Amino acid sequence: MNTHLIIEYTINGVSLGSLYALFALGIGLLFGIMRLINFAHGELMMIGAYGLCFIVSPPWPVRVAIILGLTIAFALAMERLAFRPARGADPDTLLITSFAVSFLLQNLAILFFGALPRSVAIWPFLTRSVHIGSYSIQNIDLVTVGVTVVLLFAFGLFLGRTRLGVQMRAAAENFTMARLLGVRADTVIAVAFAMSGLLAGVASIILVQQTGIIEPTIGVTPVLAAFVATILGGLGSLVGAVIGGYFLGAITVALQATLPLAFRSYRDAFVFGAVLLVLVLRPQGLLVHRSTFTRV
Amino acid sequence: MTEKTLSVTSRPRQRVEWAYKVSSLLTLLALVAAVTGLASLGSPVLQNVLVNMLINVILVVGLYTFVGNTGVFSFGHIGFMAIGAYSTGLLRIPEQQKAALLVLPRMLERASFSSTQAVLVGGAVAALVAAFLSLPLMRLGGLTAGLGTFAVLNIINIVAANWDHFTGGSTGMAGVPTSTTITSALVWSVLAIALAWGFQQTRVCLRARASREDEPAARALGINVISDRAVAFTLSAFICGIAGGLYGQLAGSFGPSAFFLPTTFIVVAMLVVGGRFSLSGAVIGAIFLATVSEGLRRIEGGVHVGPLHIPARPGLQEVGLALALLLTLLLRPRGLTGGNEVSLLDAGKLRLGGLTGRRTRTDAG
Amino acid sequence: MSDARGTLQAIGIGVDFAGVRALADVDLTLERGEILGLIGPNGAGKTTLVNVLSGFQRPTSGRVVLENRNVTGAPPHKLAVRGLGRTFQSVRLFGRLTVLENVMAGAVAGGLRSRPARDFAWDLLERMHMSHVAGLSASSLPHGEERRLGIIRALAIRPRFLLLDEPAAGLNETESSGLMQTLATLPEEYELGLLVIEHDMPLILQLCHRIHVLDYGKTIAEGSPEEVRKSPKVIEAYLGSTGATHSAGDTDAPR
Repeated sequence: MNTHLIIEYTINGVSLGSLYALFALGIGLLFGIMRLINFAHGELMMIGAYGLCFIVSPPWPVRVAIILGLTIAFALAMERLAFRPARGADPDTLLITSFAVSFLLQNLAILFFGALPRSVAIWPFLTRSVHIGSYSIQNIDLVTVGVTVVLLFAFGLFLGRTRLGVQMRAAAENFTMARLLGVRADTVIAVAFAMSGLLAGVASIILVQQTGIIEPTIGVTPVLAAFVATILGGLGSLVGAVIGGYFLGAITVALQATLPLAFRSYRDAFVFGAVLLVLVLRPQGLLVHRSTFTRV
Repeated sequence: MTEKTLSVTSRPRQRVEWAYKVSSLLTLLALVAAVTGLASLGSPVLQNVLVNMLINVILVVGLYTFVGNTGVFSFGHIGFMAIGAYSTGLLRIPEQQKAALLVLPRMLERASFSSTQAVLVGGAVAALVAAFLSLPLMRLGGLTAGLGTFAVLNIINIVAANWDHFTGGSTGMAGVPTSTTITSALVWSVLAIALAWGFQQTRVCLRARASREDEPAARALGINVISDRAVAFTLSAFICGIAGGLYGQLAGSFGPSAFFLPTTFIVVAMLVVGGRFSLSGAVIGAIFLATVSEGLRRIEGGVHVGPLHIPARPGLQEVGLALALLLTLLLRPRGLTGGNEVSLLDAGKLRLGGLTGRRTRTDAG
Repeated sequence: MSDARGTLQAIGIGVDFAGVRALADVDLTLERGEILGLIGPNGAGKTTLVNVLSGFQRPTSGRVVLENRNVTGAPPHKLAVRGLGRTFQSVRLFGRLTVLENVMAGAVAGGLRSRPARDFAWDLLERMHMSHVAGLSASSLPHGEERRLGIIRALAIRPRFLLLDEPAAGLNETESSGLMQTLATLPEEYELGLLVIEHDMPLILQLCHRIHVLDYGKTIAEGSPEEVRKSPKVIEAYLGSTGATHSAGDTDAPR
């Protein structure tokens, strides 16, 4: 395989990995703080996507702002209505609750918007490419990677330097202790949901711009990718979620490149299969996190 | 809540303990038989709902066999239903149709099994796949395993949608003889419930339930948590595979979408609403939600409630089910049965030589 | 007595947790038929040592030898199958199973078939005066009976070595002495070697044939109760350099 192809595949891998990292971070955030695996994260993305579909008139920056506002608002509503009453329940109950919320939202969308896919206008800028020498990189890929890097950086700063961020990390480490030290549970959880809403909104915009199609089940595959990425990186670790996302992107593109044509359509099955294989060797994921150890 | 004492002050006779356990099995079987008997007198539509309900009972019992006994939640069991359905289809579709729709090896193309045989093979193939998958999956801790099983559901879905030669791809299979009747579905559901109940009497199951309660303590006793879970997983896949075989011979034609999220959701909801910690919960949940679901379906078609007209709205059924599940999770997370086994002995509060009463907050049987 | 039936040995055990030295070069031998007390101030590494012996903690250095077989790093369930049982500080009962089922789980794990396991479980419960609660769920037991159940459950696997992590914690005087009376009979009746972590000094001195003392992860004394009681290092470890008085009735070492 020549270098040209390798570079192109690498770009694809990084771009896809960035998107997966965004998905995974949204899941990892909530898991870290409240041991909640939010199936409904995909439906937050769906909401952002439908927002993009129906809100067409304002200029782009305004549209983006509205959609982010929408997903953040829905995330907070979700927290208030569905998850706060369930707080303190065992992780399985939370998991099933999020599954139920996800199913509910999907079917409400079917109820209101119909099950058929709709198309969305793509911002022309994104379809153009940048040319560097003999290589061309699509703007959408640049934007994906760029936005992801900026967001990761911002989150890193927030969690590491701000008071609220430190509180959140403390809560992720040991919720009970953090509360005893004065961290307000409601605030921390709300902020976590808001952040995951933000991530979902950004991810939904990028996703829609990549495919141009919206349907009620648009959130299903991303959430699955997020799960797989977080498993890879190790549940409970935010850094792990991001690394898992990039790793997943790399595996996906590698398989896309190397699988014989007949198997290309099974690509995702192979990816998940590969992940399960990794788990045989390293059940705790690539980055082990202390919270997953049981103290005896 | 004070614990009502189960006044076992001395070792009860073997027979007495067995009587209690068997009574819960018989109660469930009686319940299923009664519902079947009633509904089978109804319209053809109701009868169809009945057969679907019986198949759902098998599915939920299958899911419970794993989830209830190991405490590990699985979103992937409908994948085993799919394997059962497709395997059964391959063995039941008449040769000419098989040759026309699919591309199969000679032996498979010629294969023609009886309905019962095909269902059993469907279950067996599902069990084999599960046994294989339990190698990576059972090492995963609780939540991660749940996610892993979700991935398995997707893997099976992708394979089913793309392996055109064997599965008919996204169009699916057609031409499966519709041999599933109320009687055959009833028989299989009785067998499934009995099988699940029988499993609960085994040592493997006791060990699995122990590790469900506290994994390190179970390990400290010498329990190999992974292998016990794998057994439960394989058996549960067998049961779901049987349900799939029955479904295939009911619907006659099906595609990968019949074995994905909506079906997974319904089965999960049935188990949780009924109570995921007991076999009774599984059965009762299936019957209850099948009834609720049918009610919603009729409303979906448009209904007059006094002066109100609720117009026809597809998708209402699913929304109703989702709300039912959410309500259960918030208000009564342990489900309708609350984790107890239901038994006619309780109803009469019979006293049998000292073994009495409802064992609250335990498993029974 | 000892060599013929094998021993459980910790040889040169060291455990490091991210810079903290929990155990350093600890040697310990447990023989069948004896009761060995493992004591030391809080944080001395007693539970860590038990975790190492029972497979829950991999030592950074050293070996665990069970009946002449090197079992270092073996997972807990394999050690249990080889005859090493233990209890936990936090008991860890199978809450939603009945008391009987808790014990049966042990019996079954120890290799008995269903019916013999049930009979054996009843035997144990009757012998330990717990048969009257056999049908209750384990989570509904009062504290004292909880701990007894933990021990009975561990006995059900028919271990040759049994490690008890603070079996008397939270028990009152009567319960404590009752428990110790029971424990005293175990090694002979079941032919096992018993290791007991405890804070209650009088009970330990009374119960154990030998005592092993840890402080800051190191062995500071080992021998008969008399020897240990008089050992200056032990006295210093418990009293500290301030020389604060420590009456025999204290259950917690001052720090």
